[in-house]
Amino acid sequence: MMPLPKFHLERPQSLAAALRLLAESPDALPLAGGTDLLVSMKQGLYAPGTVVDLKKVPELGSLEIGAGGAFLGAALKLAAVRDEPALKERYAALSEAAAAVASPNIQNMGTLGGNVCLDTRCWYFNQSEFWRHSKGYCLKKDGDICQAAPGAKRCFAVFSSDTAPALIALGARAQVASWDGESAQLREFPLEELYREDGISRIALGQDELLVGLRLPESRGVKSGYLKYRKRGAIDYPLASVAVALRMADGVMKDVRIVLGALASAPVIAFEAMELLEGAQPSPELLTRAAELVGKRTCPVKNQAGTPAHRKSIARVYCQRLLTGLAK
Amino acid sequence: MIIVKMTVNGNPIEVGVGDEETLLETLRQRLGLTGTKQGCDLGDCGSCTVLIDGKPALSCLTLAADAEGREITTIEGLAHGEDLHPVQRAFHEAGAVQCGFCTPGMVLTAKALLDANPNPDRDTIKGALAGNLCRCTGYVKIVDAVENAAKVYPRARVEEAR
Amino acid sequence: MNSTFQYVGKDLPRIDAVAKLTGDAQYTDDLHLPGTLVGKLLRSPHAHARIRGIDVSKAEALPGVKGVVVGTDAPIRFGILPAAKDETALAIEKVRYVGEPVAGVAAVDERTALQALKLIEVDYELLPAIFDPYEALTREDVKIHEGCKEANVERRGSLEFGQVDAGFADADYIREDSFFKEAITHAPLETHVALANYRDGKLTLWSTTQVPHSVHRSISEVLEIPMDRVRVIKPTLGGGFGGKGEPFSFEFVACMLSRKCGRPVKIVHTREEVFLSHRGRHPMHMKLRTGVKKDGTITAVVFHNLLDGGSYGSYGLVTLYYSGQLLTLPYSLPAYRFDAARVFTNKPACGALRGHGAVGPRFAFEVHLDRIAADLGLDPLEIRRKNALQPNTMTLNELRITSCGFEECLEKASQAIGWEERRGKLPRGRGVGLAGGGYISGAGNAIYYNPMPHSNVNISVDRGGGVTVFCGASDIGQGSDTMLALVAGEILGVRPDAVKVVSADTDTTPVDLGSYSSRVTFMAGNACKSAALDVRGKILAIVAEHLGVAAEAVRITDGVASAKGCERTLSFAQAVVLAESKGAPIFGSGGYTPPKMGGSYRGAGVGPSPAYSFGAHAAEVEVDEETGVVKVLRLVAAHDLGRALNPLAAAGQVQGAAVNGLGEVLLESHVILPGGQHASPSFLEYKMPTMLDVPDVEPILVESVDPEGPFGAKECGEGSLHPSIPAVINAIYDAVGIWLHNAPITPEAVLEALRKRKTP
Repeated sequence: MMPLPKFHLERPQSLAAALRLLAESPDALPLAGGTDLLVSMKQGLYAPGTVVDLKKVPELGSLEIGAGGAFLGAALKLAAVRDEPALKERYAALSEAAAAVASPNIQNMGTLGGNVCLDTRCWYFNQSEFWRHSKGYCLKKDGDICQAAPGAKRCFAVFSSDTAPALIALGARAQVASWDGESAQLREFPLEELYREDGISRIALGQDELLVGLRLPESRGVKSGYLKYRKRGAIDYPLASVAVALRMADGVMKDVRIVLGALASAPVIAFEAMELLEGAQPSPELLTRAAELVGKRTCPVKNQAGTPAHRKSIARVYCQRLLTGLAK
Repeated sequence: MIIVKMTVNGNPIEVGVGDEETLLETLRQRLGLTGTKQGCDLGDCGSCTVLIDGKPALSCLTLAADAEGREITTIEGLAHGEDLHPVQRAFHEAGAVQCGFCTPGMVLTAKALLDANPNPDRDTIKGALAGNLCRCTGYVKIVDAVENAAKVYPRARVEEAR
Repeated sequence: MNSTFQYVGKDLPRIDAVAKLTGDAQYTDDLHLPGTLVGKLLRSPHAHARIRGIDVSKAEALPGVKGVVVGTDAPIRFGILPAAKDETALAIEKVRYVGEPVAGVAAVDERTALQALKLIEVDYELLPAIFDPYEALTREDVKIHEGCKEANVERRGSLEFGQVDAGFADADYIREDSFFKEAITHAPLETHVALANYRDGKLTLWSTTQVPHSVHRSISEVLEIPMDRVRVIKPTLGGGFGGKGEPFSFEFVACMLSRKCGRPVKIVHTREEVFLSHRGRHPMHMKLRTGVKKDGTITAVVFHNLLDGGSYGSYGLVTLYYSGQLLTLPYSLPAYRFDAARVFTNKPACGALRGHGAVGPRFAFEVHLDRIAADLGLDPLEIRRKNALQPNTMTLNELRITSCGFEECLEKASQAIGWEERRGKLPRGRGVGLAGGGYISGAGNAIYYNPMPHSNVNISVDRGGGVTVFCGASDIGQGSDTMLALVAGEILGVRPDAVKVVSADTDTTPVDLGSYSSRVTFMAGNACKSAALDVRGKILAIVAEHLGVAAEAVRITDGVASAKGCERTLSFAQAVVLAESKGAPIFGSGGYTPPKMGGSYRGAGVGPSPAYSFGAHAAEVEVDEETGVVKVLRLVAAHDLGRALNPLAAAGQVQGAAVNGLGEVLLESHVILPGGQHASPSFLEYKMPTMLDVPDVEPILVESVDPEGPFGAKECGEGSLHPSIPAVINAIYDAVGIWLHNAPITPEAVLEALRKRKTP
C-alpha cells in the first residue's frame, strides 16, 4: 500500500467557506475528484496539512446550457461533460476531450475543473519518493536541477489536460473566485490566461482562489474536434493533442482556433496557422501549410514516452486531419 | 477520525475512518470486504473498482469520508444468496475468469454498463471496460461474457426490480 | 474423436470461478492473523555500491517498531538454480541494482513501518555501474559478481550440430540479420505478498508463489529450519507468468521478522516493488545467419545471442540454453551452431517469463525466414511448409519429437486469415503475416537433480463419494486445479465440478515442482491420471465382486457403476462404502517422472521435454504511414496442444498468451534508465495493453494427440505466445514494405523505416 500522508480534511458547504479555509491555511490544497492530487500525495509529491474537499460546494456544480452559450461548473464530473447531448452537439471538441481522459472509471470521478487545473507532468517528477531519491530530485520538487533538461533554468513538466485545449479552442472563459477577507469575488477571463509556460507555477491562481467554472460562448455553427495521441486506447495521458474549432461561412473558414496540448507546460495556441486560415477557402495545400506551421510552435523535451520529434509530428498530422474533417 | 454513515451492499454501516483513509482501506481492513482488490493503489489498473451510487469508482483514489451518505456496492454484494448476478453467471460460463484478480473490478464495471445500457455492442463494452487491466485472458472472453450477460439482462433486471 | 471421453474435450468452467466472482476467494493479502505486523523492505537507491555499514538503532527505537533485520541475519545464499545461488535474503556486502532490498522492518502499522525505513542509515560506497551488456562483456575493472572469470560474463554457452560450414557451402543463398528484443515484465495484477507466522519452532508461510516446493527448500536452507518444520502454502494467486516463479527476498524477510518478533508478519509489495523485483524477459541482442537452397530448404543456421541478465543469476542459465536449444523447433535444421553469453548488469535480474527463453529467438528467426523468402521470391507459407518438423523425429540437437501438428497449424492459421487471397493483395497500409513456433511441455530434468517424480498426486475418496485430489501443483490462474479435477473426474467417472482439489500446501500435498516451463498439465495431469487409476482399480474390484462380473466389464459413468449384461448398478458412493468396509479408506497415489531424454553434450540438459507444442499465428495489420502507428486488426492463433482437455480453458490460455505477445511487439518495454532507475515502474507508464489495444484473438486448437500426454494433451499457455510477435512484424512488411528488427516496434521506428525506404 502507498498510504496517503496524514492531513486534516475539511468539507466546506459553500464557496465562501472553501475560500476562507484556503486563505487561512497556507498549507491547504483543494481537492476535487482526487484522481490527480491523491496519486501525487501517495507518491509524496504533496503533503498538505489541510485538504479542502470541494465536493459539497454547490456553486461549483452548475451546468447551464442555453441559447447564449454554456456555463460548466468546475466540479462537474468528466463523465457528465462527456455524456451531455447538448455539449456533444454544440461543443464536440470538449465532449471528445472529456471522453479521452484516462479511462471511463476515472471520468466518473475526475472533474472538469480538476482536468483544467491539472498538475504538469514529467517522468522525473511523477514518481515515488524512493524513485526520486534514487534519481536525484528535480526543480519541481525538492531539487535544483531539471533532470529532463540539465542546465535548463526552468521546469519543462508538461501540461497534459485533455479538456483545456478543447475549451480554449472553443473560446472558453474561466470564472475564478477569490477571497477578499469577507466574501467570494468573481472574475472572468479567457481560459488561456490561466496558464503559464512554467512547469512549476503552472496556473495563475492564488492560494485563496478557486476555479468556479468555464463559460462557453454561443456556438454559432462552430464545428470542433479533438484528437489525442497516446500509446494505449485508455489510461494514458496525452503525448500530444490537438483541438480545432472553426465555422464555415460562404465557403471560407471563420473564427479558426487551433490549440495544442501536452507539448509544453501550457496549452499552445497556434496563432500563425490560425491567421493563415482565417477567412481563407480550405484547400488541401493550405491545410497542409497550416499544419506545418502548427508543428513549429513547440519544442517539447524528452520527459514523456515517445520522442519529442514524433510528438511534434503527430500534432501536425492530427491538425491536418481535424482541419480536413471540419473545413467542409 | 470521522464517522461515516454509508450503505454497503444494502446494509447501513457506521464506521470511524481516518481523514486520510481511502475507501479501499476501509473496505478491506475495517469491514473485511477483501473481495475488492488492490492492484496498483494509484488508479491505473481498475482492480479496486466498486460502485458508488451505482457508478464505478476507484476505491484507492476515493477518500472514505466521501462515502458519507452513499450506496457502496462491492463484489460481495452482487449475488443474491446462491443466485449469481447475470454478469457473474456470464463470466463463469464464458471462461472470463482466470487468476480472478481483475474480476471484481471487471464485473462491477460491466454491471454498471449494463444497468445504463442493456444492449451495448462489442466496441461499447471495450470502451467501458478499457480502464480495467487484465493480464491473463487477452480480454476476449471477458467481452464475450458481457455480451452474453446483455442477452439475458433486460429480463434479469425486471426480475431484480421485483 | 472425443466420444470415448465423458468430460474431456467439453467446456468446463473453472472450479474456483464462483469463489473468484463473489469475492470469496482468499488471496494472500486477504488473509489475516490476529496481531499481524506490517513488514516493509528498505531498498537500495544505488545501482552498484558497497555497503560499509548499516545502523538500524534509530529505526528500532521508533515506537511501534517490533523488529528490524539485515543481511547478516541470514547470510546463506539461495537461487532458483543450484548452479547460480548468488542471492541473500538481504544484501550483505554489496547492492547490485536500484531497488535491491537491504533491510526489513516490522511495525504495528504501515505508516510506522515506512517511517522506520527512513531512520535506517546505510553507509554506501558508490561503485561504477554497468547498464550496457556489451560493456559488461569487457569491463574487467568493474566486477558485479566477484566470481566471474571473464569480465561480467556469468556463462558462455555454445552448441554445434551437423556440418555447419558444409551446410553454408551447400547453400544457394545466405542471409545475415541482427535483431534486438527488449525486456518486458510479467505484470500480474496481484502484487507479491507474504504472510509468515513463526510459532513454537514451526514456520508457516503463505506466499504468492508459483513454486511452493522451491520456496519450501530455500526457506529451510537459508533460515536453517528443518523442512519438516516449515510449511509453505500458496493461497489463491492473482497471476504469475513467471514473476513469482522463484524464492524472493520478501519471503525470507517476512519469515525472519516473524521469527524475531514472535508475531505474524505480512509484507505486501507495492506495484513499484513488483517492477523492481522483475525476473522478466532478458533483453537479447541477436545475430542470425542462415543458408538455404533455392527452394527455401534450410542448409545451415548460425545464431549468436547476448543476454542481458541484470544483477543476479535467477533462471538465466536456463534462459541462455533455451534460447539456443529451442531454435531447432519447429523447422528441421540440418546444421546449427549457437554461441551465446549471459552477462551481469546493474539492473533488476531477468529470469523466466511466459514463453521463457524462446521468445526473442523465435521473433528473430521468423522475421529472418520471411526476409529470406522475400529475397528468393518464395511464399512465406511455402518456406515454412518446406522445412516443417515432422512427427516422430529427432531434431539434430536430440530433442525427441513425438506428436507434431505444426503443418496443420500452418494450414489452419493461413486459411483463417485468407492467406492466398490477401497476401500482397490488400490495399497499401494493410497486410498479413505468418509465423510459427514450438515449445516444451515441461522440462525433462528437474531444477535440482533428484531421482524422484516431477509431480505427485494423492486422491482420497470419502464415504459420500466425494473425491479429493491433493497435489503440490500451483494454480496461478492458468487453471491447474480445474485440470486436476477434470482428469480425476474422467478416470473415476464422477463429475469434475464435484471433485475437490487441495493444492500447493507443503504439509498436505505431495510435491509438484511448480508452475513453470509449461509443465503442469502434462506432468501433474499424468500424475493425477495415475493416482485416479489407482483409486479406480480399487473401486472396480469391489464393484465387480459385488455385481459378480469381471472388473474389466465395469464402467463408472456420471457417478454410477454398471456392467454390461448386469441389471444392477451401484452409485459411486455405495461402491466407496463397500470398499472402505474392507478395512481401510480408499486412497490412491501416482507420480510422473519424464523418460530419459536428450543428448550428452554440454547444455543437453536444457531443452528436452516429453512433448512439444507447436503453433502458427497469422496477423492482419493496418499501418498509419503518417503517424507510424500500427494496429493489429486480426490475430489467428493456431496451437497444437495435443488434446484440448478443456477447450474453454485452452482457448483462454491461447488468447491470453497471444495478447501478451501483442503487448510485447506493440507496446511493452521494461527499460532501466542511465543511473539504474526503472523507466516505467507503474501501470500508467508500463504499457500493458488495454481492451482497446488488441483484437479479439481467434484461437484454433489443433489436436495432434500426444502419445504420452494425459489423454494426449500437451502444453498450451506459453508456446501460444511466441508466433504473435513475428507474425505482426511480417504483416507490417506485407502492408508497407518495411522490415523492423527491434521489438517492441515504435511509431518512430516505423516512420524511420518508411523514410529510409523512400530515399534509399
